[in-house]
Amino acid sequence: MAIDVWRDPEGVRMALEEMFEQDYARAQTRREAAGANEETRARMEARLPARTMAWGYYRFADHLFHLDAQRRAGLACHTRDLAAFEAEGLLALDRARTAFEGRHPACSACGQRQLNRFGVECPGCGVKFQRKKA
Amino acid sequence: MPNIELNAPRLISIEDRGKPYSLTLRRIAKKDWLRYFEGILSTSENQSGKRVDSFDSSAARLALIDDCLIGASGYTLPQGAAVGANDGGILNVEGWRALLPLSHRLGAANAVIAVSQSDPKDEDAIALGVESVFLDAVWSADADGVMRKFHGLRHNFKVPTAEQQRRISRDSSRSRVVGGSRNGKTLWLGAQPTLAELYDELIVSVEGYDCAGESLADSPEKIAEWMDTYHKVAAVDVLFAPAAPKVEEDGD
Repeated sequence: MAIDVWRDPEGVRMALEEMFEQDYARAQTRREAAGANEETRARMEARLPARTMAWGYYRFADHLFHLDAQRRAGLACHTRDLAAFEAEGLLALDRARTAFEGRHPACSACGQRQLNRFGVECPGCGVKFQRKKA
Repeated sequence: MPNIELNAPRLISIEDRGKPYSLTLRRIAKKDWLRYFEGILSTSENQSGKRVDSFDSSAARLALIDDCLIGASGYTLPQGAAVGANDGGILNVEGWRALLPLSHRLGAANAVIAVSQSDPKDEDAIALGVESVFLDAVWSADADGVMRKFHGLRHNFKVPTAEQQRRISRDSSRSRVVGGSRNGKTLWLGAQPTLAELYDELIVSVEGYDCAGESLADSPEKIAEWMDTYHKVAAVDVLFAPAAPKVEEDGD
């Protein structure tokens, strides 16, 4: 059975989450590989998480990122200019972004995303995190 | 060089083993081209995280030619009788299109899709408010049966809007997945119908094209009506492609 990618918001959300995670892993690898030789860098890049969805999901996700970038830049975009599947896709993008930001909170001092929610110190600026006492 | 005549059959000359043959095609209408674009099989597969693309247009090309062929010359009938271009002989042979060599039909199809971006032919700076696209294309054989390439066919467009850009992005991102969302094959649906629509919305004038002996020049309505849909798609594809930045290699 054929799946129309633009009508599968759950599949699109999964692809978007993968893209967020890949971007995070790539940025982290770039930081860690600074100063490393070519071979080490290639080995580290080979460890980046692979894409697991059919390729059409990533292409549609790129389109949603483009729409979202326009929205965030304040470009007026009336809902009547959006197809219903684009509106659904933008909602999937918001869900994927919220989930990603929950898994990798930003350092309140420098903004760098953390490996997870349980770190005690930011690897970017060294600031110590304080846990809220219950 | 004369202009391309849009309102006339196209004569495609083919030389095979030293002998000349020619195939005559009627004007290829928009619906023929849309059927051709629909028939293109462009797919991508995810193999261990790597994208593997495949593209096959041979069936679509053959169907296009079979739909539009209205004559052929240079061939002999099975009984050995020579068939001229105008005596109608070959047209009396049942299923004559399918009897023509596959390589000739594919060759004719390759000729009608031989359209590519060309460099601007003049030294003029870009005019504000107008965007020009230049194409090179093979069209039809001349009176001597010689196929020549037309260079610098000019299409002048209005500046596209953000909304038109968004339509291209939307339609070129649509695909269908067969075999499951994870391991399935992506079939790209293509945005050619949208590109053709945008051509009609944006075209201002053209150079290098005639219709019934008259230059199409700057009549957007006539251009939209008569321009070959494949040329429309090729021109708008170039219009929306990002320009390549000029990068100098560092000398040290």
